[in-house]
Amino acid sequence: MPRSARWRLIDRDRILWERWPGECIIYNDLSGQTHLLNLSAAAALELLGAEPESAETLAEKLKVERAEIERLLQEFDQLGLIEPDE
Amino acid sequence: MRLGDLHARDLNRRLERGMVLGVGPFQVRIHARIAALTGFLSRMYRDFPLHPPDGFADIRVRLYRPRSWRRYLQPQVCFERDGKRIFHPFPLSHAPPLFEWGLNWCIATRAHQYLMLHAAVLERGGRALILPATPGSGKSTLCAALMHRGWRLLSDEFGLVREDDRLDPLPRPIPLKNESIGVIRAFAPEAELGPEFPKTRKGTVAHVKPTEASVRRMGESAVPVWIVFPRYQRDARAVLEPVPASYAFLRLAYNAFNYEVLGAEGFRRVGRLVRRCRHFNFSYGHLEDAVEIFDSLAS
Repeated sequence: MPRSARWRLIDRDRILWERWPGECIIYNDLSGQTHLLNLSAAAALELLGAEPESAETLAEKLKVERAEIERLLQEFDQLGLIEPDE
Repeated sequence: MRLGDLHARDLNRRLERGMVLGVGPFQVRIHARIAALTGFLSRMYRDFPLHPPDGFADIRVRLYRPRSWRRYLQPQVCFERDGKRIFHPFPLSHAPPLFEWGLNWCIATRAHQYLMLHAAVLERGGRALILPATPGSGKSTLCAALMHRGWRLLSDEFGLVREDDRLDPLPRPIPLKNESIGVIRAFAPEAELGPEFPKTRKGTVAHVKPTEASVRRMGESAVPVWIVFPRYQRDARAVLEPVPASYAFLRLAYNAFNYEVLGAEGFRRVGRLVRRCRHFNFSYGHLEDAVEIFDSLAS
């Protein structure tokens, strides 16, 4: 993944959210899959739904290690939750 | 008119032509000429309403003896839906469990207007208790016990969640397996059990007739209030522990018959259900303790 690559949520209208204190489950209507997210993953995905972000800007906003964000982005990409912002 | 109002001769005649029975929200046309099934229906379904034989039916099933030389040595019975055979033949004496399992299959594969939870559902004071099924949960035993201690049976198998989130009843005979048969005979001597069917794929099976009140009130929906995941452990004391919403969500969704079929609507319906209910894990070793816990929950 290029260091400057920016990512966005695949389709805001097709990702459904259920939130409870400390917990979050989403449904991806494009894949038909349901995912349980921890709080930092949920926060990252919400930011990507608001506007495209790079791993660097996400790491800054969420105050976590960039390597952790890159792992998370890779996982989101594999699950079909995000796509490159081109 | 109820099935129990028919004389045996008339019941046979109706079944031969196709009898339409009201079972919860469904009208089921049953076509059969099998004595074991007729006897089973006349006992277990005697409180259920009959509809005009030429009227509409949501589900059309036929049970019949296949024509082959085997009918003289090891007679069998087949199950057909809409003229198409489903399942392998069963021994003829197992026609009633085949009918029950076949009807479950028909509902689970067709009634997608509902989110269909694989769960027992009981009601008290208009409020519904959902007991999702998992192996070893003792769901049917617990359900039969509660039905005989003041809870109305909505279903032993299907939590039918409507679009408005209410639960529709689908009372049917409750299948008990193996040791559970004796447990319920001892716990609720007033329970009416049908014949025992040994050597089915699930061991020995016997059905508990739904109470007359459960059938009479099968037009009355209920509001979901509690989701309880039961787990039977021999001699364990009864413990009810709250569980996180996400845990309840995932267990309900993955245990539903048609969560994936409904897609986004399934996700929304499970989400609303979890938000409006309290959710617990429940381990128990004695039915009396379990009844006490659920009574206190409902009081």
